Amino acid sequence: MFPKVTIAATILVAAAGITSTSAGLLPKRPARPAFRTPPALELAHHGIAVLRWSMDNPGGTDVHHGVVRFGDDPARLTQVARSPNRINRGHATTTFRVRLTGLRPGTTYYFRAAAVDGKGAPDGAESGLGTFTMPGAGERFPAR
Amino acid sequence: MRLAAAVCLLAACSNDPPGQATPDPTIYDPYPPNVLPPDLDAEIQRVRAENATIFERTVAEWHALPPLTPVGNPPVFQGSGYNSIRVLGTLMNFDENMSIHKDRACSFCHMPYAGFNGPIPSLNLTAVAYPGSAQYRLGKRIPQRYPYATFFPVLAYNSDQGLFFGGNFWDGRSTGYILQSPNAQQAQHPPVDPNELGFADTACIAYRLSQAEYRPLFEGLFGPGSLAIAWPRDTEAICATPAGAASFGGNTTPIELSDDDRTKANVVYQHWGQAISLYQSSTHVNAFSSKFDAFLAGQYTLTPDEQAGYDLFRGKANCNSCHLDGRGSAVGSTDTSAAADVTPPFTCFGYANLGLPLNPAVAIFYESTPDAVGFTPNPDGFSFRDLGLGTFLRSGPGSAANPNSDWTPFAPGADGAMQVLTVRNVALTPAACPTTDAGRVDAQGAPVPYFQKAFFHNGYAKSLKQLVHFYNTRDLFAYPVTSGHCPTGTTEKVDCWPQPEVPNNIDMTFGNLGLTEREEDLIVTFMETLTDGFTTPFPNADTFTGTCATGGSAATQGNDHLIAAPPLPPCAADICGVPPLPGPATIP
Ligand code: HEC
Ligand code: HEC
Repeated sequence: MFPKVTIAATILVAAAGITSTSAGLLPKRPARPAFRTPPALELAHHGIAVLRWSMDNPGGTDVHHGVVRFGDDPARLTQVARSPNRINRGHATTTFRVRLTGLRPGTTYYFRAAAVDGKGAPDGAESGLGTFTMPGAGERFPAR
Repeated sequence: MRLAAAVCLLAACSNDPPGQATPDPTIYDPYPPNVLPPDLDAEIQRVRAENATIFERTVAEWHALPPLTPVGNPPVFQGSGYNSIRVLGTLMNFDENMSIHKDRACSFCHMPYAGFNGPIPSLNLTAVAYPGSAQYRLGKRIPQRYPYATFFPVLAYNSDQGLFFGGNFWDGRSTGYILQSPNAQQAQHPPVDPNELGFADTACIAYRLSQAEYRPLFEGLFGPGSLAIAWPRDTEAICATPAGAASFGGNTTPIELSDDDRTKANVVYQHWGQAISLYQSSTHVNAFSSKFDAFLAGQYTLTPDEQAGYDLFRGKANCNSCHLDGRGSAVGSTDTSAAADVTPPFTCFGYANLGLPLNPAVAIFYESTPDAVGFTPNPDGFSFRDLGLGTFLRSGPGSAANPNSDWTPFAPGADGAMQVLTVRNVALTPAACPTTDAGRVDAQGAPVPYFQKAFFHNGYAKSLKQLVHFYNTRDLFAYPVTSGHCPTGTTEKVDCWPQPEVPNNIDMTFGNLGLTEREEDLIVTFMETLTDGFTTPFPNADTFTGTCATGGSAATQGNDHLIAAPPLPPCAADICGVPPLPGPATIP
């Protein structure tokens, strides 16, 4: 039903591109949890996209929020998406999934991803600039 | 049909020949076709008769109780006190006289054979909420299953976690702040809920208890003078008039009592909540008698399918990060630890927004016009949005007042959040219809009859298969449509999930789990091991006299009863316009 489409789901984030916020902010949690799998498009269709990444388990609260600043202009990431995720205590890494909605078909978006704990304190790292392009109207990524 | 039989109910069955009863203007029926099921009146009578069976059994139990002998100081009714309060709470719970028209017990919406969920299959398929004593005022959510609800602590904000824990009700509004038990305090809500037992004054409970045949039991436990209240002449009439009636002018204490008598009535109301709560915390409700409990006790070995389902529940599907099973989550890793908790609650006692679609079949959306006594259950009509805990924190419509203003600022982070209900007994059904899910066949290939339940606070899922499929594919098959409007070529609940009712705070721990069809089924199989009554019969679960259903498939179960949502007006100002405002997204 959905024609196979190739879309640019290229992610510009590389380990080197990861910037970190001020250190020492959050005692008793892993010093600056690093991204293990960079933010990538998990799925996109009908105005919704899910970005997914994994990082060192930040510990602390049970719920952390993935926070994605995004926009269609890399210089103006004016929109914010924020999604709660459970960290799975005792695991080395935590998967974050963030839901972006209201996206336009065929449009290229830019974003930076970060995480905060249940009280809003930053988990210590923000990704470099990433990008993805929404599939065309009625199409989906990954195609099925 | 519906109207005629209801008239009969209210007017104590007039002599009108069948089919000739004049429509009773006191009946409230603002619903379009298909919202209330055609067999509703017959089903109401069925449940009432089943309920009477349990009430009579409990009366017999009361008569068999040993005498109450106070011993020591503070006095304890040695040996018999516990069961006496349990029996009292059970009597109260199954007593139809505790409603305006003496036709609804608490249990009407929570029958044991349904795992204390709603007992009417046709209603679970449609309006999902249940009719209270004032016909047909219905609520906004499914009757919540309450085994293990007594384990919820008093509602508190945990500032280390930034989360709320505890409370009863889907939205936590029964905080327990006075009785220090959310469950005991919960029982103080339905008597004066206009859509439930329907009294205008909490003192009506003391009044009706003073007339109850089991009054001596109450007085034996709480003192000979505990119900000695000078009732004004108009008490009977007030307690037979639905809450919200214009004649009360918003007065919540229309029975004029002396200060002493008002205090007495308030004390009776506390005993009411606490006795019912003892019933719920007893093994008659919190039975811990499931296959899974036997497994934890080393007395049952899970079948390979049950074990595989359990492994998925605590592994790939990550269900136990919210529905705690006493062990760590094994998602993406192996965890062979033994259970640290031998009575795991299968809830974290917290709240989350699962991103469920708005269910336009829920009765409340249609109750925007006044009934015969001038009460409008939901003035917001289709502008009503169920923000759950968020609305409670703002003291919003359909909830209760929030007693702690320190909590109010957390409302935007709680919008859409509902209680993480225990998974225990979700699959409990009457023995005659041994499953919740359509399309099962037994070992001989014969169809297994099923009992139609409704799942999630708004009853959107109609089978456990659909419930798991939602967790598995919510994001994969998300569409920016409302229910009933999935694009051509897709099937709602199969490969189309309409947009969430509340777009904020949607928990992303799940939504694209990558489970296969078979894996989904295995998780359902595992959830069935959490049904009480395996090691010992579940008390009073044997009273079902209705009919089971057959045919169809669990994946599309109930889809023939979908109601297409009308174009939705924006969220009402008294819900979404109250600070602190919902955000970041606007609630459509
Ligand atoms: C008309 C149907 C109806 C009646 C009558 C009714 N309930 Fe309920 N019950 C519900 C619904 C619906 C909910 C969920 C309500 C909500 O969250 O807003 C509920 C929730 C509950 C809960 C909360 C469980 C939890 O896990 O938090 C308990 C306990 C309960 N009811 C017990 C009772 C008792 C006791 C009575 C009588 C005093 C009663 N109910 C009468 C429909 C009913
Ligand atoms: C993020 C926390 C979370 C996770 C993870 C989670 N649940 Fe739930 N569960 C909830 C909440 C919250 C509710 C009540 C939601 C509502 O009705 O709006 C619930 C309700 C339920 C119910 C009861 C429904 C009813 O009406 O009786 C069952 C059964 C259930 N979940 C099973 C599962 C299964 C199976 C999984 C894994 C596939 C799972 N849950 C994963 C939070 C969670």
